[in-house]
Amino acid sequence: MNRRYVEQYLIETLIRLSAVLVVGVLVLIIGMTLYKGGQVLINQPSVAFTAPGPLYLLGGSGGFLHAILGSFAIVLPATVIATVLAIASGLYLQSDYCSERFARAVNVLLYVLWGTPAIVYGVFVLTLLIMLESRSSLIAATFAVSLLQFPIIARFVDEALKSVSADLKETVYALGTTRFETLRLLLRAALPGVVAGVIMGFARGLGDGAAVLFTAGGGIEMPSGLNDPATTLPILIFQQASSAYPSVREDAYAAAFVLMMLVLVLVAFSKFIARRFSRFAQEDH
Amino acid sequence: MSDTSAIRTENLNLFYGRDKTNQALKQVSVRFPANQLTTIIGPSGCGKSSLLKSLNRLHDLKLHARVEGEVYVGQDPIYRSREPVPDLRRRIGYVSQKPTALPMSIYRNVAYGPKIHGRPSRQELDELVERSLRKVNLWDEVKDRLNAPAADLSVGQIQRLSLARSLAVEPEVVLCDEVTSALDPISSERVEETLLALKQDYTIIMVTHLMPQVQRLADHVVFMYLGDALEQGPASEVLDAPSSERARDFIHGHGGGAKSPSGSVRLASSG
Repeated sequence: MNRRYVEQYLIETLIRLSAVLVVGVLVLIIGMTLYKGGQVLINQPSVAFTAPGPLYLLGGSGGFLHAILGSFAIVLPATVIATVLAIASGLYLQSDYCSERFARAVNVLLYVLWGTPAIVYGVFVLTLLIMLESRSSLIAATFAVSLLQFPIIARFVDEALKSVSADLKETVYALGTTRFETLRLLLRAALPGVVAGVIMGFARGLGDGAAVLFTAGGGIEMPSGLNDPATTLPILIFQQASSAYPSVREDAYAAAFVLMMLVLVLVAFSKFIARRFSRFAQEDH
Repeated sequence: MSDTSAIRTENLNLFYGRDKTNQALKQVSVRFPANQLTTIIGPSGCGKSSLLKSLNRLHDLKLHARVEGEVYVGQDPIYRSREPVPDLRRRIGYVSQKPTALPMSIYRNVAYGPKIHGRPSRQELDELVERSLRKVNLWDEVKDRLNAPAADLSVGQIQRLSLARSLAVEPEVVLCDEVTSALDPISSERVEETLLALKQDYTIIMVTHLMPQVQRLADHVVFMYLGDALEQGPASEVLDAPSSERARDFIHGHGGGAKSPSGSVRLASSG
């Protein structure tokens, strides 16, 4: 056979194999979680809806509602804060207020921040807490998570705004708009990308354990106030999975199931929103 | 200089680049007569669009551009005027080369400008939108789907929508930057018809490199070459008897049948 066809055949086989490998591992992880977590939840749906008893992690009674609520109480406000800051910085970087060279430098730094391990943000906030002689709390964790989300969302906003054509900008200015009105319209044109970024940030915040590890407190109390400790699902899963009690370890699958579902719903929702907004986007002719 | 000109420039220079040393316009002094259609012609990259954009201060948006000299709109020196730039741009509309739809419905595309500049009632706005769309002959094509995304229209329709959007803020002058270059012949023809109809009420300044289009539309012609305004005057004079060698080469080289009297619609090709 011709050498070129042998080459082609080999490469094709390799590509197929690696696809099987990647998809296989994914299916295994998701399948295991859904199967084992689903089993726990079907047998005992209340674990997701009840507060933990005092000895929950030692095999005691109760569920992990505290971590579900804690996740939302920490990650939702964090996403709002990070989004507001990211949109502000994205608009600034793409506006006429700032030079291209400065924008490029900031973008490099944002990439660096994106790649910074979440635990570094956690330790950073912990250091601040020690300096302030304060303690781990819901608000400290919110701060740490928003730090983690900010570079992600900011990069998305920046790319989305960059993809808005220069013609649109000129067209809008030529109608007699002020800079603010123009930026508002450009943001609207960039909305599908911005929404994608916000969801990415939200999902990252929801799934991250390291940033909240030192900052949230991580007890098993229900979240009760800004200055009180709280915990999130990833931390809970860590605690459950390292427990000596088999029943608690089983619950880890249920918690992972809930977390996975939340992320899935979020991604589906973002696709839906992005499609709605991109109806108005002009394709390149 | 005669007061019938809607816009005139005096020794206009435009520099760009990081050190602002590249010169795109060199001591350009031209006049654009009111209620006429002036075309700015010349080879690519010779400063046609640069001249056009300096007339409503679009160069202000660029960090690395500097304008020197004067542009008068009526008696008003716009680069020294106290009038806020957005108000000036409202008076001098601009349609870009690339047909551009704002990310909203057809209706809102037209209503966007008027809503920014005033607080028209719903009824006033409805009337204004219809009037503007009628002026560009788009009303009949879109009246049943005013709430559909503007991006769904064809390129030619979007270009006429852009024109309607500019007209909706009631400008005195409309600047058109190669507005037919992205369009097919039939769409171009419709845009040309629209421009011809509009020049009764507006001063239109149009950049183009298509000589047949110049002959069909122009009352007045400015010929640009490497940043200089080499020729200007009534279309008949400039097209039939250009005084400079460059203009003669350009007009004859591109037009093919350019020796015919200007204004005649004799050429088959519509661009």
